[in-house]
Amino acid sequence: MTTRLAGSAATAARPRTLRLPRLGTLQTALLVIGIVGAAEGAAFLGLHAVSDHSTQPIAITVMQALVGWAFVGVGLFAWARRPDNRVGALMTAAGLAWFLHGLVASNAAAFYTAGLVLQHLMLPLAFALLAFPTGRLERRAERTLVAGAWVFAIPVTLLATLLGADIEGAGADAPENLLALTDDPAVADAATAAFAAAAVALAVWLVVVIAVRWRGSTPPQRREIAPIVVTGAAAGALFGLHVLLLVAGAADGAQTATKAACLLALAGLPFGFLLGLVRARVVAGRAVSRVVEELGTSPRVELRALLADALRDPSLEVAFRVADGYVDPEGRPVTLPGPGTGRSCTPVEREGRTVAVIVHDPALDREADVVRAAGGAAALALENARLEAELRARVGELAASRARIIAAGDEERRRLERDLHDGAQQRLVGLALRLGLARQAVPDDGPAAVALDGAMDELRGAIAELRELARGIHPAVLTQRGLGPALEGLVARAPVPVEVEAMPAARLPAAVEVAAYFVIAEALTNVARYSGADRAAVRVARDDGLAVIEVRDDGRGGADPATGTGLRGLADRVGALDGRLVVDSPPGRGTLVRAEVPCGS
Amino acid sequence: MTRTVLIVDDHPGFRVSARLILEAAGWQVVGEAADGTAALAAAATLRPEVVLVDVTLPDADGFEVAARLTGGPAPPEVVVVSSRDDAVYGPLAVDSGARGFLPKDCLSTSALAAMLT
Repeated sequence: MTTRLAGSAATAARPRTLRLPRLGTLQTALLVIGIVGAAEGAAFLGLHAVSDHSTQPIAITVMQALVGWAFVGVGLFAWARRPDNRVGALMTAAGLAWFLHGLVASNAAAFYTAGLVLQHLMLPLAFALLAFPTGRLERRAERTLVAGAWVFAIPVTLLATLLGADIEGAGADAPENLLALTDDPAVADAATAAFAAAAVALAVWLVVVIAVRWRGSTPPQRREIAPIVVTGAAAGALFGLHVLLLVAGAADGAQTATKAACLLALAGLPFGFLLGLVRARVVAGRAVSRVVEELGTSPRVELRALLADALRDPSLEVAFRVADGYVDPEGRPVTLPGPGTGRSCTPVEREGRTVAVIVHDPALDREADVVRAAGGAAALALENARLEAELRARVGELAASRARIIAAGDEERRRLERDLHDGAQQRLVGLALRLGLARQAVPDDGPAAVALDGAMDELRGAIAELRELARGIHPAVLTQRGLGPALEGLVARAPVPVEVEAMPAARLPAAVEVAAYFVIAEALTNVARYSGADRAAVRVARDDGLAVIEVRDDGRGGADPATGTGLRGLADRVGALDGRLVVDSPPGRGTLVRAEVPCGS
Repeated sequence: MTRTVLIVDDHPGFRVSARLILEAAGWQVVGEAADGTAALAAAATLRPEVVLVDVTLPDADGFEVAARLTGGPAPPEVVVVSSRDDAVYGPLAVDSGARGFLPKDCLSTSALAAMLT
């Protein structure tokens, strides 16, 4: 051990050469784009500095440059981190396009005119950021909006320029618009007003599309898109307001203020985006530490709720792996959602085996490592919960199979009774009838009459015994007419007077009726055999989803269900229906047998 | 006193035995039916004075058939029979409008006559 430690210390002490990482093709390209963006911004500032007609305050100009750089910078960062997602590239392009509107500050007529035509090119690229976070415009309304922005940025802006519209509010000192087809001030004013109206409409359209998207999003999706849509909607609304003030000829101060606010919102967009990227890391750390902390302090915590809370997805569910599929925490079988169901699955593994699957909102897919980390932190607890769920599933299966065995037994008894009835009983009855006929045909005082009378007595005895046997196997009247009539027969045969105190008006489920019948039959048999009671009472009632069956007597009590097989078997039968059987038999104070069986509502 | 009788039972063996017993005593068996539907049709056309109905029929409960038979105008007198015997069959038979219940092995014209008016 000591030797090894010394060895590793020696390795650590060995001097290492530091080398700069080699840049890949993508990084090189991004670096070049970054340099272009920086140069563009510098040119933008320069054009404004030497402009002989730009009237906007220097602070606004600087803010505009910062907005462009923010888009380019954050866009390149996102692009480098997630090259397969177009959002970073879009943001960079929007930043590069943004600087083009600086051309309107140029003193040269050609650059000035180019600036007029190209100044809104940033809009469609910025609108396309609605593709966040997937990189694709998923909704038709958003695709239509971006198409509308392209129409506004190219043909509409070009048309306004051709008609001489003063869309920058540049005033009389501006260089000549080389593309203007007319210098009629009336046409220019009309074109300016129409262009402003189109700009305001586009701003309103953007705000509406964003609002609709927000309404249709789940809480985790909202959390994810908030930085983009809040700043986007604010920038859109402020841009609309700014255009309105411009057209209305509002005071310079008000115009400058709305422009500054709009620029602030616009600058907030890339930074909000950056915040979202960074927050995913922070959230990941917090989620994992919350899971670990909670599990440490209260190991019996409900895991689903804990994970839902830590990952901030209230819809989150947990499914546990068992031998032949998945079960929920209660042990009920569940099917995992497949692709296209609007739900995502993240497996949690422990020692190379999947112990559970976290089913969550697809918005969490982009924080997949967070989900995996939180699941990993909870893996041991999940494994325990899995074992519990598996146990519950087993118990559920056993209960179901026990109920099935009882039901199959009941069905078998019904069939046996029917076979006895249709077979031996019918033959014996037919035999009795014919024997009766034969008896009529012989003289009353002959030896044949004596023999036939004896045979008839034997036969009647056999028929009675067979009836008793068949009824013990299954009382036909129970199937035919229900528990009430079956009980009347039972009461009529009982040697002790029995009062039926209550009986539900409607029939109970078949399995419950059979159980109730046998409980009462066995209890009444015990009353007659052991209790020495003078009377007994039977009561069957429905109470809050339970069938309650009671048999009471005024006998000597002291019955012990553990000693008799009859009551033991009944307790099993009642248990198979998820019910319970209680025998209360204090010495000298009678016996109460009470069964409670769930029977729906 | 002779009577016209319809026998309703899905066991042919019983129908044969019952016919022998009733006819030996001079009663007239006007028809047989193997289920509830056939029993109602036969009773409507043959107009028997007495109908013997088995408790368990393939398509119906004997007590229901007894109620249908005795529910109409000028009904026959009905006696419910079965090879099973249960204390509750008697009250059920009377509730359904029949004269009473007779276990099949006790079938005789004298037992029937004691129930009929």
